[in-house]
Amino acid sequence: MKMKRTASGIVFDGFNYSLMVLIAFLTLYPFWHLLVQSVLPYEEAIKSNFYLIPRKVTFEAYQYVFTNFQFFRSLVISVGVTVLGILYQLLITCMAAYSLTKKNLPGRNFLLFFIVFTMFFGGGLIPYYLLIKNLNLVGSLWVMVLPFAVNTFYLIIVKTSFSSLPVELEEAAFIDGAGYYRCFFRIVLPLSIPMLSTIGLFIAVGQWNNWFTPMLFLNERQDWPLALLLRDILVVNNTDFVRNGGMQPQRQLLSNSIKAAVAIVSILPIVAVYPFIQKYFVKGVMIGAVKS
Amino acid sequence: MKEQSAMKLAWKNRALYVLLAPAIVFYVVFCYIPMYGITIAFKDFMLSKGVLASPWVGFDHFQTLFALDKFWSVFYNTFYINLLKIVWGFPAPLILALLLNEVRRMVFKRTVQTIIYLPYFISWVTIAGIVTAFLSVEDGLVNKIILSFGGEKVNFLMRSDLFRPLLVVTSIWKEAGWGTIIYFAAISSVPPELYEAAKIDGANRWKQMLHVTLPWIAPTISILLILNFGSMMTGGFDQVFNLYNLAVYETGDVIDTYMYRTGLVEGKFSLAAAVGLLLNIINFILLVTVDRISKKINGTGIY
Repeated sequence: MKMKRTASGIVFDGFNYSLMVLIAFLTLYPFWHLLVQSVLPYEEAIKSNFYLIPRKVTFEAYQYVFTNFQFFRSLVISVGVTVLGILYQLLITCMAAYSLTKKNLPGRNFLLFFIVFTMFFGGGLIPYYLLIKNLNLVGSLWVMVLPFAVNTFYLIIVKTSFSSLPVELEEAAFIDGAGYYRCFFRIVLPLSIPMLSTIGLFIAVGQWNNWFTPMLFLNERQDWPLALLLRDILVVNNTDFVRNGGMQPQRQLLSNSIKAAVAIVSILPIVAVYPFIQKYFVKGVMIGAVKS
Repeated sequence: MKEQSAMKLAWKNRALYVLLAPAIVFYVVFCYIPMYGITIAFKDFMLSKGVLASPWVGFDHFQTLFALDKFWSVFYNTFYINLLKIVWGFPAPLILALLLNEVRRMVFKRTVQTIIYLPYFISWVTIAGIVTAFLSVEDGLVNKIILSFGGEKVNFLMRSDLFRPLLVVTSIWKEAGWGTIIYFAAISSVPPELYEAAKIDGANRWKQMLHVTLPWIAPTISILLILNFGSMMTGGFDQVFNLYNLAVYETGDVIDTYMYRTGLVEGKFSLAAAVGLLLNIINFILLVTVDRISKKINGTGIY
């Protein structure tokens, strides 16, 4: 259905496309800037730290970062709490969501109220802090995983999605003698993989970016995940980490390059994974938005 | 008899309870026990004694709080910053979605979408790091641009009059793109016949956007707007905490950051818990109100 293009339409399109390119540029430029900064050789960086495209490139900052023991430790911790967090939260959330979709769950209405009420009212930061202290989770890496069993918002999305699956499949399985567990693991979960990967991504991002929990409860630097180490380097501006970068003047690295390299490494996993899941999450968010 | 059958039904469906149990344990431990912990707002809490054994003091902490200028100032800041974010930030994703919807080249459209969703997934820590670098007085890009136009350097991060605009701009940069998703969902449900009819009436694309798309998604807009008002007194901790400093406390300190410092840095647990309880009550009222309004307008509540 090609339409005849009018003059005003062409002007509008021209304006619109330029604006979109500008917005995309403004969104990407900060990341690009970080990337350039992280590979800029010292002799270029002291002249100016702004290059749209650097003339020379060095990976010394990354070499420094990846051979730094603290960084490596933090990276491993971040990967660990992210993977564990996904499995743990996804499993508990899905089990609960499945159970809550069943109309013959006695006390279902009360249980739903019990859960949704926490979205309206909560203890707040201080009682939460005292609770974690009393549970002896301070200083333990488990504090990064255990308290994140369920996110009520995700629970509702998952529940809505489960209840939109065709009931016939499960009914047929019940007739064949399958119980709830079998239905859950063999039918409901496999059918929900697109939705689960979306929720999984959100959980992963939350775990990966979590700096607040370790800031409150993990006092030893050696227990810090990458997000908190990054905060220490970028925001608190603690120079411990970058100071050793410039021991030899001729091989000197600017602390800025090291900072940028750490930031890039912390962003990279998100950037790498999310375009693949994007097509799912648009759908997932819609389900959550339309029905809840 | 009836009770017995209910028990029987429960026993027959015990697998469902087993599946639900871990989540219930989670809610009891991590949501409901802290709710009980709020009682320390009415106690003189001492770490050595614990929540139960600390002596009651009634409304003392609230009286202290209400007499503090600082408390009212963070209260005002929270409200004002959120209001600014709604005024400037709320239209951003709407306009972006409407304009991007007019893009007919699908590859271009999808590429732009992928790009603008990205910042949503980046933590405020990283963004604060980038912002600090860009606004740096010594070698920040923004100041270089200002200098090249003959202006004078501005120490953006230390200027209390610029802190709120900084929060608004950075939150638009981070969240406007993501905010378009919900509008795209709404726009995609517009019946094509409406556009056909508009075209026959001689409406150009601009007019179609104004008179077809916009009215169709108006309910979505109104829901999102009232939802925004529902979180009027919360949020922004990550953003403010990673960007602020002593020089901008006056305009930038919000309830959440104040509560954190009072309780966990200064160790005034009870006072901070009192702040938390007040915040909770306000939010509760806001959410219930918003839910009611939404029911009136759209026939369904939000939750």
